[in-house]
Amino acid sequence: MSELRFNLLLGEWTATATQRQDRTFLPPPDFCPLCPTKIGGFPTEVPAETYEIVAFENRFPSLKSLPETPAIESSELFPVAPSQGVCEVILYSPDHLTTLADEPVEQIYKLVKVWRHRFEELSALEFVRYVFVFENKGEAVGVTLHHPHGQIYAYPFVPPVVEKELTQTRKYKAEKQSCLLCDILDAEKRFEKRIVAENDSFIAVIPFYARYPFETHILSKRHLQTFNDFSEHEERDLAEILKQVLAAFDRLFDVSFPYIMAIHNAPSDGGNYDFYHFHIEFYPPMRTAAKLKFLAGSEAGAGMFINDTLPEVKAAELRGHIVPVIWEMKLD
Amino acid sequence: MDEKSNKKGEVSNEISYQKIILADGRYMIFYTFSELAETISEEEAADEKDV
Repeated sequence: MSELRFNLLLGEWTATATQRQDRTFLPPPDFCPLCPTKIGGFPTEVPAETYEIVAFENRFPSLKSLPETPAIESSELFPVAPSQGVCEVILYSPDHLTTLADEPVEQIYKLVKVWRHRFEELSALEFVRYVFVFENKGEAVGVTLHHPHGQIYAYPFVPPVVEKELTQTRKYKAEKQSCLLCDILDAEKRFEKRIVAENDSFIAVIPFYARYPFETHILSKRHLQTFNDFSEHEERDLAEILKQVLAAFDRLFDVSFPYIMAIHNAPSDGGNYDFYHFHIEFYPPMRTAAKLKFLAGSEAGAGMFINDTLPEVKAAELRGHIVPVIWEMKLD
Repeated sequence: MDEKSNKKGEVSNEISYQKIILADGRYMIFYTFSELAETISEEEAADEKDV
């Protein structure tokens, strides 16, 4: 069963999705459900011998386009709603052993185009208010399938983290007649020490207010709201800076670096969000080669993060692993 | 898969996709990028000219 339950105390929705308890959990590589179905092999979720990039509805969704009626009745104190939405999986490659960081920049460029197409299609659905593109990478952030993939949740509401960003950016615009992230970007450029990488269209920084040691944000230099605003050049530059940052992550401790990647577009509810600014946030849990950052009492119970490091220092470390990207131009 | 429900489309002149419906009713979209190399090469040439 699946339904949305509203938390009046926090003003937030929680999805119950009991069927997800049965989802495939860390299968051996030979039985990966996200690999192509090989001739004579076991049938995976993908009925094709190979593919470039595939998007499909999650077999174990927490949101569905045609949700079942909630099992319990809604009340004043316990509001309940059908879990309407869409949960998609995006397979980055047919190669089980690769990662987004290991993929050539051309493949990441293709992925950016797919993200944009999925964003456009899902945003057009009548019941969708927000399209969230993200990736969980590594067991340290709860991954259950290692095949390189990301996800998209199309929510019937604007989720709380984005809602907070909207509140802050709207308020800043009203007070200063300026975009908060444009001003932060300018300030980070002037300060220089927290910059990790930069190209014509994007800048990657470990921001002044980073909560995780290697929390990295990629900001568009132009004041864009969503993927829909990207030029062709910006699509390529996004692929390039993603390749640089992801590869640098892996070089930090010489491991396949775990992270959560959260892509923040403006909402898809038809409102005017010209004060909002497209960006990507990475939350990597590793703070050293052997230690993880956990969300403990202050973080989970009070909402105040404690960062044991300085963003200026960690940005210098990560910047030291940035290398130029080479486009091979052979995409077929 | 239900072949009758197959749908082909183009995102742009460089990307096409095929949408199929799986046996359990879910959709799956296969993206292909056959003309992307040419597009990038043309853009690169344009960029070089600009320089």
